[in-house]
Amino acid sequence: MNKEFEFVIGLEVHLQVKTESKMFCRCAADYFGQKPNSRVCPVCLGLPGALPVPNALAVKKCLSLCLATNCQINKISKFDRKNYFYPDLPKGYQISQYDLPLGENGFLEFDVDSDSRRVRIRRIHLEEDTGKSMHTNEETLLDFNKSGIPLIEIVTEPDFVDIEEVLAFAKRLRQTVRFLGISNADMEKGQMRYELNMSLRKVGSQKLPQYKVEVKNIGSISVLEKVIKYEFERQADILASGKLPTQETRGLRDLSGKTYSQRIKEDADDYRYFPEPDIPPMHFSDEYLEEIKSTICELPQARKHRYVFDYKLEPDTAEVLITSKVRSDWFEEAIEKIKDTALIKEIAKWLIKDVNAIIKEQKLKLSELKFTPKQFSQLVEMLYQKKLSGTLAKQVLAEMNSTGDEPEAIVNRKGLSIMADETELIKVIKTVFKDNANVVGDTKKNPNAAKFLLGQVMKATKGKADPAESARLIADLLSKE
Amino acid sequence: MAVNRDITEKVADLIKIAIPSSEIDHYASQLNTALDQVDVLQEINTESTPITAQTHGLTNIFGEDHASESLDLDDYHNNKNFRKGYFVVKKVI
Amino acid sequence: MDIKKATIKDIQEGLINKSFSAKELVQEYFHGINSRNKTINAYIYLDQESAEMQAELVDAKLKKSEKILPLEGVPAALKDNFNLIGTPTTASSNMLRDYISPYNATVTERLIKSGALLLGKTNMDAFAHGSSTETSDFGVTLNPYNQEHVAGGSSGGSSAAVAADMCCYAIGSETAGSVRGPAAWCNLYGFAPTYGRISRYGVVAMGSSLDRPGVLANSVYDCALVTDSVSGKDEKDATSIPEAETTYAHNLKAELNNNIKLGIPKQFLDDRIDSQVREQVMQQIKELEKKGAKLIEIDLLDPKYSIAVYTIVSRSEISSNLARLDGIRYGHSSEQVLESIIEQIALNRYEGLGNEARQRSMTGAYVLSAGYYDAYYKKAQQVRTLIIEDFNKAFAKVDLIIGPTMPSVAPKLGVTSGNPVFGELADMLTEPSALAGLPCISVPAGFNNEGLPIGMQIFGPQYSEQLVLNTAYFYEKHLAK
Repeated sequence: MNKEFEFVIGLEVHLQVKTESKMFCRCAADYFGQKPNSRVCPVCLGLPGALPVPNALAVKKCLSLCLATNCQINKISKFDRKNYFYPDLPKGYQISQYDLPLGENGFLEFDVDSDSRRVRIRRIHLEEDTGKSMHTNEETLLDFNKSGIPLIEIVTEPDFVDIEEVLAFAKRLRQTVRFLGISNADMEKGQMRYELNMSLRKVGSQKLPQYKVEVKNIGSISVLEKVIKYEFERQADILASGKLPTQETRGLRDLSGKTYSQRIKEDADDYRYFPEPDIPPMHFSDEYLEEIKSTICELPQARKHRYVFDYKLEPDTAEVLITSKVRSDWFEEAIEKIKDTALIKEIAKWLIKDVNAIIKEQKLKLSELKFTPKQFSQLVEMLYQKKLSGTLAKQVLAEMNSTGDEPEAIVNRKGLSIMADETELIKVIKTVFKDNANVVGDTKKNPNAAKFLLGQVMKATKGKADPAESARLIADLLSKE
Repeated sequence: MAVNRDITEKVADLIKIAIPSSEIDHYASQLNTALDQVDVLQEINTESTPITAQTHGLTNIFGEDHASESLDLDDYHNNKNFRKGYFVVKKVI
Repeated sequence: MDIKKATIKDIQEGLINKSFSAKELVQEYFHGINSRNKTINAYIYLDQESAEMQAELVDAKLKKSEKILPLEGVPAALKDNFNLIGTPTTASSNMLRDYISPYNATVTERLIKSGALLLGKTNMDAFAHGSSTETSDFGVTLNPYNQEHVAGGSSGGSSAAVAADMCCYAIGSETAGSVRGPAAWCNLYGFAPTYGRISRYGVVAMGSSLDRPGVLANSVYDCALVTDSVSGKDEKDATSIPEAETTYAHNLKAELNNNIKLGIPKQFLDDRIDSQVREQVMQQIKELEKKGAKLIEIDLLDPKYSIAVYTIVSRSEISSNLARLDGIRYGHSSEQVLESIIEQIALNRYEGLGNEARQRSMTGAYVLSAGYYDAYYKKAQQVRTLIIEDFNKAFAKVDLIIGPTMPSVAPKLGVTSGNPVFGELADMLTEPSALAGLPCISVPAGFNNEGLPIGMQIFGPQYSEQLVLNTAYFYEKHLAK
């Protein structure tokens, strides 16, 4: 990227809140994939005479996000009308929040590699989503199922110093809202959208750029990355030629990151905000806020740090574990009461690799596995205590998932215990040597010969021998031949 | 405060009513009459007066998050622009 | 059967005593409608067939001597800004001329549940923007007492329908004085309880913080009974008072409270008010004094401030409330099809909205727009506080406030055209209490020397409906002309 310039980026995130009904009416909120205009009523269709009634749970969920991101809560808050005309805005105004948003002046902490970062959040407010427009060649088709869905808007300060920071912020925010249970943030269903506000200035300049470009409706973090890179080049080229990029709203036509001019914004739109007369103001008591605070679970960033500092897990490993609350909760249950950090590490490793492999292969959810986290950690513990070889452990795991039996029971039933007795093992090895004398003779020249012998030992012990231990003994015995 | 043609046109555009040029003066005059009528408020000192937006004094009125039935648009009589389940307009550019 | 000035009691007694059947009664009313409505133009929608069917159901009940509901069998009318499912709900506007409502207003639902027998929908100033019904797109409504004069507005059709014995009672709505005003000019009782007492859900919104449904009737008891049938908390209206339905009729007593203090505002009797109106109303008030009421002259903020506040607040809310009328999902759309949808919306609105709706929307947009909000809208909301405080001070000294309802009698047809602020000026005596949401009633107070009706209003603090109604009931029984 052009090294003359640096970017000034602010992010606006729109998040659909997970509720049963819409923000201001009780139409079902599960509109995705439903017949068009089948989740509408006088309120969300904007019929004459209809009135809004705010969704209590949506307010609660937004407040929990505000508290989780250290915002100051406006204890007296209200809704306001944002007035403008657009075909997918049925009332000709959007019920939103203007000067008393639910939360202000918070921040989100996250990591870029091993570096701890923080980005300030200017405000978080609650509003309603608009309908959906689908464009054909000649026409626009309007579907109002999405109209009135509760939407949380998060606006950041322009604190981002590099592109990795923007992406890491977006990821951590998404994890956080999922952890809190306030949104599924399913990108494919459009439940989380980004709006980029970006301009460039000369590197080291303290002044705010004299223009701002807005790119709306970015539907994924990967596209966000492409858009930032595209815009950087585009704006840098214009600036380098001595001109100023046009202050405008740009949009996307595909997932390539390329942006197109949509609307030239000379001045700010005049939305003629005024307090929503149909909805009484909200007064939040300290007790109510405390109650919400008490329901906030351990958040991804805090959980990651606990994994790194308390359990000594690698940051990368911890990061993978907190990808989803379900996964990390499962992990928490598996390691409950275990103090040995080396064992915890082993459990983490097996969860990420082997359990994940089963899930992927059989297309399951963690909750659909036939074994419990506790059973899983018992198995890993057996492996850790060398009661079982790695190969066997994998087999047992597979069996656990088909029968749901306890690992110890499976091991005993199948007589799968690792051959713990060294004397027994040496006996087997000596027998194998005898039956494969010619191979034994080859070992000095051919390194694969020893491997072959090891394979024979494993076969003879039906996999119960510990491969590493066997290899060591084989080498030892060969050296004495 | 006199509202001129320019401002009247801007306001008509804000509120999306296509007032033809020939009628702008008429609406400018009406706008001015209304604004003249409200000038009297400047006579009153409201320096530290709080606003009243609503008279009922209610706070914290919410609806519980339960879904109920939606309208069945199969029976919708205002279907001039309603085709194959969508409201159809000329393409929004 | 004599339906002249018949009350709900008169009618239900007649039905129960079998003096007439419900069907005969409905036919009698339609006889009057068929001969008078074409000139008076009170109704803009009638359904005789449906009314007769409803009447037949009542007759079936009566035959079995089943108990009838509080409003059953009594022909009534609904102002055309109240949604009635399956019928045109036009708010007397070209914009909604062909709009067939897919839902019932809460008031409509509750009326039907109480057995109301609806004959049709009544004419009004388009979108309730006026005090004379002259801004209706369906023609003006004539005053039954003198057809060269207007009936008043915006509930002109409802008032004329009752006054001309084309129904027993009618539902209207008041934003400034749209129930009291036409009641005064048509010699009726017009009652509007405290803002929030009756749900606004399904009433085409004009001024959201001001609108309230009300009743036009031939007696105070009817006003009370109808109010009781439709009042009470509505889940669909967040501004509805969270109390159960009222019991005003049950508790109605024709009494003057001991030592009741009636406040007479100086400003309601100055030379802005027609001298005959002043004299006639003062005469009635003096009669109340003879019956034991204490008269106290009070000093209120000049109504010119209320006019200004009302103009700003209502027009702001209007500009926003009418924004949903873009002709896309319903309502008028132009024959002319334009390339740009935004221009199409503007053309649809220009064609569908009349002069009054256009100019009020424009004023509203102007006073809310950037740069003007503080000087106009915020200022108005601040003065609104002062007006409310002014009343609080007054009600510390007096129990109720009394005075003329309107500054004049019904004007001649055409007199008001060309005056862009006629509506707000005519309502100067009702706007102050409207801004405070106070419960109010207009009662017949006599006639001027041309035979045109004069009305007297009584209003009290919020939630003092029983006192207002009892006092009005006493007046009706002992003093009404």
